[in-house]
Amino acid sequence: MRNIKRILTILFIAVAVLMDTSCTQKPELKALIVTGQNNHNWQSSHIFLNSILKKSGIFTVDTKISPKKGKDMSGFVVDFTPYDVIVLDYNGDEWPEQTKTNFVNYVKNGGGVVVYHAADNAFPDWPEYNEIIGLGGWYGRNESSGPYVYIADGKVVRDNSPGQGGSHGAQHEFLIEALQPNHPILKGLPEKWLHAKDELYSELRGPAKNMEILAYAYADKKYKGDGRNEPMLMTIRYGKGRVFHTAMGHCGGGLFAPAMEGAGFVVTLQRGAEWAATGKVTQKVPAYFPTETKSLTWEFFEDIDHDLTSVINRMKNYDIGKSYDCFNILKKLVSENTGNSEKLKQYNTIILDLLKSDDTSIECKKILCKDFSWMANDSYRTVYDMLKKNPELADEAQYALDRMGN
Amino acid sequence: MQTKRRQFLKRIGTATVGLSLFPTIVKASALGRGGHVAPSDRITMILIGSGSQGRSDLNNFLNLNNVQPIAVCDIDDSQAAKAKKMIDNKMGNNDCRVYKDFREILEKEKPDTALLALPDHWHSLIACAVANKKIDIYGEKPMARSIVEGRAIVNAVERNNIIWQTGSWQRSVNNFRQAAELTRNGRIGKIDYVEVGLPNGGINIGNPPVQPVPEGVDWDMWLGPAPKVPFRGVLHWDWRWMMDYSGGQMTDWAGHHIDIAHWGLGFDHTGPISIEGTGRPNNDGIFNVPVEYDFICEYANGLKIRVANASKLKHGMGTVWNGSDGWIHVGRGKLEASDENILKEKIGKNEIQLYKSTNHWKNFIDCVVSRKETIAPAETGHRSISVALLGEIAMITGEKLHWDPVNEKFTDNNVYATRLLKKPYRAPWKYPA
Repeated sequence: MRNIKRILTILFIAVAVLMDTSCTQKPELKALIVTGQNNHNWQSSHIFLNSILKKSGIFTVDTKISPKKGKDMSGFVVDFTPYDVIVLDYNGDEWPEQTKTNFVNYVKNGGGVVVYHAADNAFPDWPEYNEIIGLGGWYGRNESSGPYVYIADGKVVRDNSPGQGGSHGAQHEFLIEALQPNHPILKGLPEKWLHAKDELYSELRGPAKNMEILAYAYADKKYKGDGRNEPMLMTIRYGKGRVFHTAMGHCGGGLFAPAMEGAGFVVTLQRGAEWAATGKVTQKVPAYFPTETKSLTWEFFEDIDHDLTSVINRMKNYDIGKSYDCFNILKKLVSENTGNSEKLKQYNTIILDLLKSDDTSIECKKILCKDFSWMANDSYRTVYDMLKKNPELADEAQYALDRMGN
Repeated sequence: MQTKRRQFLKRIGTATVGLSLFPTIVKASALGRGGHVAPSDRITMILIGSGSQGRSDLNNFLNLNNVQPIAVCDIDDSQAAKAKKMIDNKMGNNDCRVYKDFREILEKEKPDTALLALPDHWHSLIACAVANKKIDIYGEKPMARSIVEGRAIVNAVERNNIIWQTGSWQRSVNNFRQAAELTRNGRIGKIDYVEVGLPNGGINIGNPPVQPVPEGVDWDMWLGPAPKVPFRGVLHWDWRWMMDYSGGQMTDWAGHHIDIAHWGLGFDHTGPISIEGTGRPNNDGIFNVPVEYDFICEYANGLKIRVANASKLKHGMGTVWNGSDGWIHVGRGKLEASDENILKEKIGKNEIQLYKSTNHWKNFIDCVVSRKETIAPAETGHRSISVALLGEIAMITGEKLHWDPVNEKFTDNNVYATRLLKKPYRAPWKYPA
């Protein structure tokens, strides 16, 4: 009798685990961000990269943070094999030999790599790294690193002229133009779009072996650019590996990074990462994208102005320890639209529906009672009264009623 | 007994102008620095909240040599123990009593003064309770977590006729007074625009899980009137990045640089008539205060004060008054002007002399004795934080607010904003009457 009970218990638990009541697709691909030293604000950029990858819905993300500059790196041994894609946010001290070997083998054997912005500044003296990234800049790179590669008259030019590798003018918004609009990473996106204010990386040079330029940007001299069409998005094949290189996405000392919040940067990074991991891109093209004349910024790295389904879902399933950004998004939308009765109506409906639904988590309802009661209208009162009857929510519902006042 | 002592001190205060520096034979005037101060002439003090700020203030009071802390109260045994050790060491005994519940320390102790160094969400409730016991208070800034709570403290201070010092110690530092005095006396002409630069926020610990409460900590009591939430590893210091307890750098520093801005303008008893601005928290994480903020207050005479991250402003951290005849910028260790000759100007005998104090903690104790107003009294402290609290409300609602600084309400009776003037208290805690 005991054994039957035990079996039934196990079966019950197994069934409960299989029944995913939230009905969300579980992310399939594993990404690793490597960071910890950089001539940019890596403390922020790796967090933003993490968000961008997670928001695609197809990645779980780990982060490996190196020791500080100048400190003992011997313990920084990384096993890349568990991951589908490595996102590089590092330039600084040399990695231990084992890590370097692991990395090269990982890529050679079919691994995926995303080279993000100043990761192409790293390791000028490590030949395999420079083959993997295709092009690089700064830290002594010159004609011995390989040719300049840029676009002239619609064709890719390899230029072995002597000179330093890597430069950029003043930050500005610049036009991205597709050279290969049908490549999986770019397919379906507009062929020309205005990127957010960013550093326009120019005069990169490197081996550029098995490298394809997907898109470029004109480095206008009025911003102290070199007057050339410089590669912005590239792919490189190294052994069986796939490398996606984006030159965009400067992250400076401020608290937020407008360049990384550029919708075009976000979407191409997500698509580039998926391509690097699998060779295919399954992500849908977003309905809203920057145009040729107008850039588009996604403060939360997603299109919250037009599509709240993902945000609502995250609120619905919120639990302590999970991402809190869904509530910050709603707060921002509310504060920006208090004068817009139609939008406010939409947000009130969202909040009230969440409060009334049995599928909404208790922790979500607590936060809604606490942080959104200042904006409550009369239809909230009955909902709060109802929630008060639930002992788990009585305190928070009372808070909301107190806030509403009489 | 305390009342008799206060009367005794009052007589001493008027009899001896300034406190004697050297011990004299007459015991009654033995209060003073450097000399031995007889126990009966010391000012007794209790601490409520003995974290790093409380202990820093405690140290400043102990250095005055005429303050006798007699008890500490903290919801964290280890913090209380640290304060007790400092006190016992100084007093050369083991007499300092320790409490965990402020109601108990107020019931059992009868001190002359109280040092309150608590998280913002506790300020009003405890300050009013202490004031109602007619105990003089050194209260850490910001005044309170909401405007209604701040006004409650001011009312309690006035009703009970006690001495209050806000912990806005910059007023007792020379360059700040000099800058404000020059500005008040028209050395840069008519002021039309002021900029206040405060620090960046940005600390982010993500979304930690529920954790066991540390040994010796009464978590429910720490929360007090704030909403009940499980412990997630945030206790001392970092509570200031969470909206339930604090408004972040904006409210933390309002009692410094906004306070100084008001001082230079003579605005200690007033406030803005309109407020609008934006604020942005970290995208994610439990630290949800604004880390990037920028708001503008307009005053009745047309003057504007902008409060923003120092990194957004030309002169960075501190206060900048811009007038028709130049500008003055003051910050910690910094005093500069559009023309260096402005800073060399002397203030004449018949001009506005700003309150002079060279030691903020001594100023409090002196006023406890003399019964004169301190350099940073309650109304002033309330007006300083009100600017930041109004900025916070403007950020939450996203609207331009229209404020009546005399009656402290919104002139258009804005429902949303009015609700945000106070925070609901969790039962059984009740708003100070």
